[in-house]
Amino acid sequence: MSATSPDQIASDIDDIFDEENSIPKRQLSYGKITSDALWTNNAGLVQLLGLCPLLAVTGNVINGLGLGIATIITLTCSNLIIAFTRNWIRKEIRIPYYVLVIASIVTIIDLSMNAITPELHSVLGIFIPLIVTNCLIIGRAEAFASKNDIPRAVLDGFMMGLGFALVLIALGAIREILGSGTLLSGASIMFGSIAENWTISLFENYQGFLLAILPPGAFLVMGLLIAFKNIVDKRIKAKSV
Amino acid sequence: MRFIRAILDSFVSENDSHSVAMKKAGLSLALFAFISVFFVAITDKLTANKIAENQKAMLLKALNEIIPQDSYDNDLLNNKIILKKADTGFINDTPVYLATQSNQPTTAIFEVTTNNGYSGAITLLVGVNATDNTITGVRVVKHKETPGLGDKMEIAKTPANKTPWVFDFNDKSLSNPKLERWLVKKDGGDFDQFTGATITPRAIVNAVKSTLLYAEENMDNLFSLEKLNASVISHQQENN
Repeated sequence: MSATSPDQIASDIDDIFDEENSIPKRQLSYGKITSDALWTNNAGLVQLLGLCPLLAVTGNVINGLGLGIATIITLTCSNLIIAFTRNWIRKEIRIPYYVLVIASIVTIIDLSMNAITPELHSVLGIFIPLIVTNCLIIGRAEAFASKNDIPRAVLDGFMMGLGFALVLIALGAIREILGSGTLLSGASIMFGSIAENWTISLFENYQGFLLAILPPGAFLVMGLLIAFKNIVDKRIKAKSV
Repeated sequence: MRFIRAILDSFVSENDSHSVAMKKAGLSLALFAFISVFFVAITDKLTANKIAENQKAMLLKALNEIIPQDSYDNDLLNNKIILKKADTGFINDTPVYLATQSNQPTTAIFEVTTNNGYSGAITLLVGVNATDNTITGVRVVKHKETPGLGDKMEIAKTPANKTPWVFDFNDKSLSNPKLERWLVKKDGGDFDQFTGATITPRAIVNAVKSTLLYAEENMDNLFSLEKLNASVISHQQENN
C-alpha cells in the first residue's frame, strides 16, 4: 500500500468518531465474557498481567482479598468510563487518555475511601496506589472496553477483576499456610471485631517457612498454580474428545 | 457528542486536514484532562476536611490506647512539641504528646522512629509516666516488616488466645528490668523475640530503651517546654 495521504488519515479518524461504526458487528455473549474472564483468559493465570502487585502483596489471604476488592472496583469503573466515552476518543490519543482516566479513578477512590471508611482505608490504603501499576486495567481498556458497549464492558471489568481476585486469594492462602501455618490472620482489621476469632492455626508450634512468604515463594507458588490450571485444561480437553 | 465536536471544530481551520486532525486530537485530550482534573479536584475539596478529621480521630484513638481517657484533661492533640533530632539523639524529629491533669504532668507519649528493623523505618508510640518514668504502653503505628513474621508486633496480628507482644513493655522501667537486661532473650536480656524474627523485636526494645533514657533526663524540661510552646501557639493564632 502506498503512503497514506493526510486526507485519508483524517477520514479514517472521522470513521472512528462515527458512533455507528465503532461497535463491532458480532458481540460476545455475557456468558462467554464471564467464562473468559474467570477461567479461559484469566488475568493472573493466562494473561499474566499485573504480576507486580500480584506477587508483592499475597503473603496472606487478607492482603490478597484487599487488593482483589480494590482491583475489582477500579477495573469496573475504568471499563465503564472508557466504554461510555469510546466514540469521542481519537485513536492517536487513546493511551494517554486511558492513563488519565485510570489515574483519576484511583485518586478519587483513594480519597473517597479515606473519607468514608477510614478503617477499611487503613487496610486497603497501601494497595490502592499499587493498582496504577497494574497493566491489567489499561489492558482491558484497550482490548475490550474501547470496542464494546457499556453493559458488556462493565461485566468484563467486574469479571476480570473477580478472576484476578480469586488468583490473589488462592496464592495468598497457599503462601500463608506454607509460610506461617495459619489462615485468615489479620481478618479483624478488614472485617472488624466479629472476625477476631477467624484466624485458623493449622499446625501446633509451626516454625514457619520463610521462603513461602518472601517474593521467590510467590513466583514458585504462582508457577504451581499455572501448572495446575494447565493440567485441569488438559483433562477437560481429553474428556471432550 | 455533537457539541464537543462543534466546539473542537470551531478552534481549527479546515485548510490542512492532517493538522486539523492533530489539533482536534490535542484539543480533545486537553478537554478530557480538564474534565478529569475537575472531578479529582472536587473529590479532594469534598473529602479534605473529613480526612483530616479521621486522621486526628485515629491518632487520638492510638494515644488513648496508651493512656486511659480519664487520666488526663487537656487537649492531647494540641499539646504537642517536636524534639529536633539534633538535640536528642533520636534519628528523626520526634513529636511528643503531653498529657496533664489539672495542669499536673501525667504522661508523655513519644512518637519514636527506629531504622534498625528488618526493612525500613518502624514508628512507635511510647507512653512514659511523668512521675515515675515507667512505661504506660507501647504501640507500633507504622512499619514495613515482613508480613507474617516481623508484623507480629501489631496487636491486630496477634491470635486472640495470646497476649500481644507489645504488652510485655507495660509498667517496665529502666530499673525493671535492669538497664543491661534491656535486650531480647537471644542477646541475654529479658524480652521475648518472636518465631522467625529477631531483628524487629531487637530494634523495638532498643528504641524503647533509648526513649526511657531520654525521658529520665528530660521529663521535667518537656512539660515546661510545653507551656512555652503553648504560649507561642496561642500567640500565632492571635496573629492569624
